[in-house]
Amino acid sequence: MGKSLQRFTLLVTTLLFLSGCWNQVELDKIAYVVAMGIDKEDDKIRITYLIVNPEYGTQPTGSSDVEPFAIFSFVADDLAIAKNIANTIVNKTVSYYILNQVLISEEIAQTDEFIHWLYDMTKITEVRKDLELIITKELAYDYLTKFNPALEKRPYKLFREMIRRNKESAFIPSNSELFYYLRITETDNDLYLAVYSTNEQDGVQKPSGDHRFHYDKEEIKVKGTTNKAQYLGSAVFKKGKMIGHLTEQETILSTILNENLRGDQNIYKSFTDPFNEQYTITTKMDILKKSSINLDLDKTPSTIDVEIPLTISVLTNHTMVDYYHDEKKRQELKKHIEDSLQKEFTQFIKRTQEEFKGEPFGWSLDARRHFRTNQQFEKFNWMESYPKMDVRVKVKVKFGSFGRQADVLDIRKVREKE
Amino acid sequence: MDKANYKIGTKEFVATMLLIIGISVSDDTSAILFQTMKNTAWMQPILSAIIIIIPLILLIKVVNVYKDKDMSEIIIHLFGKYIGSFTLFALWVLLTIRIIIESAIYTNIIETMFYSKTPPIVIYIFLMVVCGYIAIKGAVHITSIAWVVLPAIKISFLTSLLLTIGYGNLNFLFPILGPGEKVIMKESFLKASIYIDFLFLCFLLPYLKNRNVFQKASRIALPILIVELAIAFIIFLIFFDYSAAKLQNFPYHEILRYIHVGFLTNMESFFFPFWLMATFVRFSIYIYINLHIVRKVFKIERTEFLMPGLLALVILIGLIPDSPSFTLFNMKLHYFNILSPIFIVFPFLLWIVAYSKGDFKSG
Repeated sequence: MGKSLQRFTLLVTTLLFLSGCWNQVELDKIAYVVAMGIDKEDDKIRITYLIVNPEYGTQPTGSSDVEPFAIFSFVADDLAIAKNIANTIVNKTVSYYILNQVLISEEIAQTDEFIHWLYDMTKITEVRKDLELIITKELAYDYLTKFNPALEKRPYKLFREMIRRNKESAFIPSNSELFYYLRITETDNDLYLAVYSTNEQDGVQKPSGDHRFHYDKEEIKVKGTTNKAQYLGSAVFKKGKMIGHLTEQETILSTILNENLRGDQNIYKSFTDPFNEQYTITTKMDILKKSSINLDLDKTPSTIDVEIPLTISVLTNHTMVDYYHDEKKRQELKKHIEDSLQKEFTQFIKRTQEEFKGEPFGWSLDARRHFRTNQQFEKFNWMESYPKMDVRVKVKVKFGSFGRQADVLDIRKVREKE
Repeated sequence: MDKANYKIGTKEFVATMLLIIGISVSDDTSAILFQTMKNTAWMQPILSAIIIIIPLILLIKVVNVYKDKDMSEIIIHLFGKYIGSFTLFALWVLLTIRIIIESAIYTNIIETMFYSKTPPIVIYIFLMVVCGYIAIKGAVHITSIAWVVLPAIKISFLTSLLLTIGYGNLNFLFPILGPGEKVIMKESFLKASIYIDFLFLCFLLPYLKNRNVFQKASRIALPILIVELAIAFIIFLIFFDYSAAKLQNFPYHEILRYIHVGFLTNMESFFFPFWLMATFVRFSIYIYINLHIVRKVFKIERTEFLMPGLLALVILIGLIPDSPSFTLFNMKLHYFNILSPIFIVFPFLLWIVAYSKGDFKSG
């Protein structure tokens, strides 16, 4: 009696799944939007869809007339009505179910209205909060129409891998998903960083910009046949509105200073060689121990002492200095790296205090521990107090490996014999 | 209604308690707490439990004294025929209101988070019909179902929470005292009705193996519930931070929409059936207890014929609220605030009357 009852009850409970029938749509009737672009057009927004074709690549003969994806763009009042408007022309039901990139042109991100548009995202059930927000230098429409990858035709995989890989090198910020935009804007204590990208010929650097991107397309003089969209640097948001950029070097610094990141970074950074200014030394930086951030909020001005332990692997040695045997040379290199980094950190933090008047490292979270009640913390007003604080950064370098082969030949000896 | 002659044992009863009270982490109870208690919401299950421990002990004592009476008979014996019947009727009204509000909220969850194109009335009817059918089978069966599905539900719940590791930040729990001690104490008192199902479950006394089952089950279930609720709220806070947490209606389901296991991105479809099973157990028990009280108060023997009437009542009133997200939320908030003093005071009343009648002395 018990067993058949249970089985019957189980059967009956599956009745409830029938109520899903209303929502059921056949797979081949859905147009999946993988990337969406948002631009400003007059008082409305221009929405661009990158719709993937699930049938691409399923034919073994690889027929060349099946397109892997299609771009479709139109102007709408807001994101909610956009789907219905799109469906007057797109013949399959538009779905945001696997939407994972939203490209937003710089122009609209810098307006006060931007936050209003973006909050439409929270009202759409299909949207996943872990989608990436990418700020583009040009119009998102231009960005997407130029999108034409040669090697990897499936945009979904391509986008995800690109983002994942670049977050590893810390050239783009790590906590850049929609979820973080919403949370950071709502708590209003820190700045939010979004990924910055461009598909234009001349790279992310603006001619008028004074902070130099080192690996911008113009600097690295890109050539080649494949898709040249570049993800580099961050867009800085304060209270939901974009207020500036960080170069990729500054993004690296910001990632190091932010304790809350998930830490599978593979950061490479170059310094000038202390023994010969013509050369650069490239190092890999690992943060194996947690940085210590000490806040003293009772002093005026309040102080923040940050101590960052880095393990540095030296990967190039163009001056062929004998680091392997010479302890003094190693110390000199260590001091040089520590000083360079400290200088960069100090400059960067000064920039956040003076230009942005806020910090994108999540330090307000550490500050929270120093207060007993929410009211006390709000009275302190972290965002207002931060620019006045005295921030001191100390970098402690420990050497890791010197590459696969640590010892290099003595080039002077080799050249002497000539 | 019960054709079986075996009774509810401790483990089934514990499972029932864990499911029907534990499931409140997955609805808007947490959202209600985040509104007022902000980042100290995790303290509420602990503090409320401390507040209701004495009423609960008194309730158990009273119940243990009258070993051969069930809850409705105890009430009538203690308060007399007229006040007793009135009290029972009041309890019935409170339970019905609770069923209506909760079922409307759960229908809203299913509608907004999962099946947005389905008309809510259809979801409501399916939900109520399924729970009503299970309720007809009897309390013993419902509780044994609870025992059978408990591991599955708790494991899936635990897994979904474990998958949030690494996404949040412990610092969100600070400042540790949040809105201040006064607010914390006041809210813990007002929201003690999170545990009110203990009182309603007393009506299942005649089906328990023996009176000790209730005491033993409460002793096992309450600590587990405290830990479960507190940890769940902590995890919500660590994940969302209180400003975002108070904007969500259903934090647990939002989390389900965010986590992913490698390439499996939309995990909420996986956890949905388990959550549904817990929902069914909860409402089946509520409906069963509801009809049981009707049977005692109005002295009707075969209450299963009243089932369609009760379900229709619930569905029709549950669909009345205009914009469910706000109205139901507010209704539940106020309802909790009203229920808590009742839950705290009622066992005291029972105990005082029993004591003054001298029933404790005769044993």
